[in-house]
Amino acid sequence: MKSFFKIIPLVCLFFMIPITLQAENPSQGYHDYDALTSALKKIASQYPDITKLESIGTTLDGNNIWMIRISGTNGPSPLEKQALLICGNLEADHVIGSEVALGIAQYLAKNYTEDGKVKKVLDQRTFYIIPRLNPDGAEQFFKQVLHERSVNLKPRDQDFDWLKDEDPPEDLNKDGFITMMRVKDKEGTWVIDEKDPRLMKKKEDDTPLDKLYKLYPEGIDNDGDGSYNEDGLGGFNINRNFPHNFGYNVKGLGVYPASEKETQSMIDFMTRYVPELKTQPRKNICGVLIFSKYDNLASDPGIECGTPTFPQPPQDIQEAGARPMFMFFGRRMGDEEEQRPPARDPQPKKTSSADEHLFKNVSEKYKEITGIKSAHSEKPVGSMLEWAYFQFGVPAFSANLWSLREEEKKPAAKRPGVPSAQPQAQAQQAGASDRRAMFMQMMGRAGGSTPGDASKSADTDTYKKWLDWIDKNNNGEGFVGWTSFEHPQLGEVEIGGFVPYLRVNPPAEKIPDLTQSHSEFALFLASQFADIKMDKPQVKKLSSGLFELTVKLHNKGKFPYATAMGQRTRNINPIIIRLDFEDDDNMTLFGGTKRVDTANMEPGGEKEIRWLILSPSGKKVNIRLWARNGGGETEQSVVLR
Amino acid sequence: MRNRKNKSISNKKMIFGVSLILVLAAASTLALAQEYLPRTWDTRKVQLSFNQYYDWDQVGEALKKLEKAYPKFLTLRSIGKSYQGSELWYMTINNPDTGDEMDKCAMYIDANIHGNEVQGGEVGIYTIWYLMENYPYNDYVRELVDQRVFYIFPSVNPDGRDRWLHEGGSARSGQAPVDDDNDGLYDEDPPEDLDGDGEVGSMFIKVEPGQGDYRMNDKGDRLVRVEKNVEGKPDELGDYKYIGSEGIDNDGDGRYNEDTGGGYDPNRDWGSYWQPSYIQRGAGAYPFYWKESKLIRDFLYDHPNIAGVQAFHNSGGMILRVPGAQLHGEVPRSDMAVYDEIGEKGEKIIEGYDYYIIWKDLYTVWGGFIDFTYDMLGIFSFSNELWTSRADLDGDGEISEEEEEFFNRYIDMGNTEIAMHEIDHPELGKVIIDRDITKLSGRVPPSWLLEELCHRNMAFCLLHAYEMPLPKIKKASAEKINQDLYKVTVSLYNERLMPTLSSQAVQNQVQRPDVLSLKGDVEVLAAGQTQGTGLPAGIPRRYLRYFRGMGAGGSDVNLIDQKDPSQLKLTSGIPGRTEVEYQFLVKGKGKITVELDCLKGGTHTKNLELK
Repeated sequence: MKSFFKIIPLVCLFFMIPITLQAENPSQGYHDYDALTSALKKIASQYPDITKLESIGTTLDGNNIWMIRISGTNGPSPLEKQALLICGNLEADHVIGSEVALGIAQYLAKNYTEDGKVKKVLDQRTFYIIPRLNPDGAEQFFKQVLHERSVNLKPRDQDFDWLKDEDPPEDLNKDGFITMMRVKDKEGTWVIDEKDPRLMKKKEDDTPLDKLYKLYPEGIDNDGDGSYNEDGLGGFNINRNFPHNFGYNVKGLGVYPASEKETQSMIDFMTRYVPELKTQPRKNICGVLIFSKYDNLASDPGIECGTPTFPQPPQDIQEAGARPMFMFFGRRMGDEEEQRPPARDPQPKKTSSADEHLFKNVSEKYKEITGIKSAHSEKPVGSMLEWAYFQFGVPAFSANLWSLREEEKKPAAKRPGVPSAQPQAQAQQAGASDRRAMFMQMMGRAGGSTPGDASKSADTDTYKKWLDWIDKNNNGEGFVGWTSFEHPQLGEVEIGGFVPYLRVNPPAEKIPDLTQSHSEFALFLASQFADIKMDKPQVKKLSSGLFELTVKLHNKGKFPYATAMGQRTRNINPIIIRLDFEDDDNMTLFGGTKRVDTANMEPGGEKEIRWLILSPSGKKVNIRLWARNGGGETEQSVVLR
Repeated sequence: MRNRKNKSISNKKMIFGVSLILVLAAASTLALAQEYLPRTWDTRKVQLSFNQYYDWDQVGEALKKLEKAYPKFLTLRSIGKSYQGSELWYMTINNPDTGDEMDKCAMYIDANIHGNEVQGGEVGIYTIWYLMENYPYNDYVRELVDQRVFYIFPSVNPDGRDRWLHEGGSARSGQAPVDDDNDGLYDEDPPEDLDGDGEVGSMFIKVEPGQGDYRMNDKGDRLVRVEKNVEGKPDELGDYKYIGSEGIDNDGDGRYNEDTGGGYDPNRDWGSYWQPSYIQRGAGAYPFYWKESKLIRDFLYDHPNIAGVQAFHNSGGMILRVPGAQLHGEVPRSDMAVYDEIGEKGEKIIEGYDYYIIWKDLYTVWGGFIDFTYDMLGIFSFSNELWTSRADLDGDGEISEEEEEFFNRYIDMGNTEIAMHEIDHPELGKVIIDRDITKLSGRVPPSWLLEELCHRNMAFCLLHAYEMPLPKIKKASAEKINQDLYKVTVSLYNERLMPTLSSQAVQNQVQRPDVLSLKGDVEVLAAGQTQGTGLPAGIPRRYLRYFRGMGAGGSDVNLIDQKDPSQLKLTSGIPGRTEVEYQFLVKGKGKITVELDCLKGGTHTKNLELK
């Protein structure tokens, strides 16, 4: 009966907390799908000469994935200009990415006529801006009950019980947030952190049993399988669905690279051949700027792939057949000799060393322009960042815009793991129903780290830093204090934890600054692309009827024409020079070919190409330079004399 | 095993014939006599020839003709249109009298994913034709058609097929445009059949001695490569230079026919162990990038009854199994046993073919079709490389040059060769076309060997189809324990080689487990598997103790701890050629139904009464 009296004041607390916290609903100031759509339409209608709004695909919920193209009215056509692709909000919860991308679109459109610097870039460059690649998932940020998840809404069987989305979390204490539940349990593996009683940490060997807790996401066990909220709404994280470094030993039906419509829409946009145009029009994309949870601008430059991890099927279901025994029996002795050295994944996993300085230079400039000097980032797995560089072959950058910054912590030899993802969202995404695995993930499993690492103090340190930030910079708002709750299945539990989305998206008042600085950075990035120029061709008469034709090329841009990776992927068209003779019957080359390809030219680089032509005097030669990724097509002609 | 009609008639006779053996015997001989269908030397209803190659229109006509002749069994449908707008036809063979399509295991057979690898299409048409024509007369065929469903796709790349048949040249790819030479133009420089013989040969021009790599042979009827760097011999001087395949330089870049239709490999477009094109040549930008593979993927996801896959290619005489890449690791042992049995029998069925593992014995394939069907759908899948030369005349396993020549001269009568000839090339002047052969050679058999190829490869597919799972409830019985507690014992039997779930399907979680349920107004308290059951045949008796309870006084049941014991998930399915026994403790009385629901093998029920 004692506990009954305890509950009364706590009930009062339930009503108080929601009121104060909901007033601070993190989604305020952000655009939901309808608002985003009308904001984009407004840009398109206000600046029709320089913008074009298109849907590059629709989602399961029927939302459009918007792409706004911005390109100045002067210079080559938008399809011929070199382009920068900007994309945000691949992870559903990373809504800030779409806000900044939208802000850049507004900035560019508005300043085209007002700011000479912007005009200069837009007359030479095209911007493709896809603010929100995962509109279905992002919409969850604007719901009554906030549940931080990074996935889209495709129904999925995440716990391998052949039911889809059957055990979502519930907002039991009605505070509008899905947080965590902790419950005293002698078999638990968690203990309250004495440094800050709001945090939980892994138990020590000598922790008394009566201090142990188990942790669950907030909610009931809808399907009665003993796991809590292991199979909620959706889905797949689009930024883990790209076909580079996707991993192979995937589990579950329909799990393969680019299985999602959003991923397909993006890659189709970038790569598809368009019969009406007789070309792959988006081959003009020379650089990609992504806003996502990964960061290679303020964080370590370059791209180093993480190790893909995939959920394991539940171990606790007893096998109802006997085949595993047969497998044991089927093993013949002496087979070990067959074993060969393990095969290696042939995909490149690290920035090509020839491209490292490019990433480094851009990263330094990013820090200078934005003032963001550091960011936390896990290593990417199946991300658009990896695909854009390792397969599309162009320089690709990602900014996470909002995370704990380096200046708040001392430089450590080893970077701590992921700070920015809500733990249960990760567990959801991983589909782990194995409780232990889920707990590991709840406490911020770092990408590629072994489960053992999760208990290292680095992670609790990260959480502590977020609490410090909440206490000092956010008026203490952002953590739901642990309060008691009578759970229908678990009995007395405490519910609490970080407010969803808080650690992924900044308060809305930070958006204008981020937009301004990243618009400037986008302009900088777009102005760096290679610029291949041809000098006036030189003709030298060597003898009667024999001419030497010389053409000199320059890369006057700041980037190489093709990254080392781009050359390897063969996705970047070479710089092609073609000769057309006025009179093919009487003009022939002595050696060489009429088409000369050059795979790459470094910034500031020069290249001279020479031909010997047997021809009567006075004949014309047309020289066509075509550099898809370096300034398009130009033509000059000379007369041999 | 006699046919269905015999059985029903002898049953009728049994009613009259009562108990006397003599009477019964007389009745059954009488029945046979009555049922005897005269199988004359020619029972063909549909006239189709299998010494020719069908283009896509002709394939469509043949399929329609068959469907019209056998409307009860055959349904012709299309999964959609190819890039160039051809219907992607597939024929369903199903006997509606023996159950719904989805309630039987299905065998999927496709062909020609590489446009030039055509003859699998003829195997598909032959299979439909043969099964239908022989259904009334042949027990094995009847059993297969009655127990199984067949989905037959004569070509999953009709665009490539027609391009190869009509225009010649390499047409491995589908026909969606690709910029093969990276110059921003798409399919702008295809080969041309300049001499109008329906084939694309190779072009040579005469040059100064030493400037070419070819010379005229001694007989003066063929160009041969010059020999260089041979010890003790001076280098030969070549006076003919290879220019390219037959055609003109459409884009004027000095290269001949370097950007023909398509330019990708549709068999590198599948979701398992996929790699980008710079690692796996021919891949698209992501798996299922091309329209045709997307449509087939959807078809496969819509037909979980498919338990066997065959994808025909050419050539080399191989029965290939997964994995396509070493990185995959070897298939689980129990799956390997299934593959090995079918593959090794296949080597006997198809003369001269070898049973191979793709990455080990052929080459590495990333993102191949049968890797997808095995890995991501759990289906036992083979790919046959059709046709291997039959010129091993002395049967020593080697084909010598002499044998080859003899075969071509005296058996094939030189029918596949095209003589060296000269043409006037619009750009190059006099050009020699040589090293040219007709379509009926090289990777496809000469027409007169096609029918045998069709038959033997069909026979292999039929074995594969026969060995798909055939689960049933063998016995179901109830034993009263006390006033309202019963023990229900259910024995399941899968007569054929394949398990209802492959180990790969279990490992990758890609197939819903079979469900064994007890339905009725009762409460199922617990369920378990009888120890020692579920072991495939061939396990020595002395090992059985390892599967029985440990120590004295143990139960003979392995308790299965699942949430709902009235709907038992058989997470590993029912192994092949094996009986598995399950026991249930049931509270209550009355009629109950035992139901076995297999995705691959159908739904089966037995009724029981607890009293």
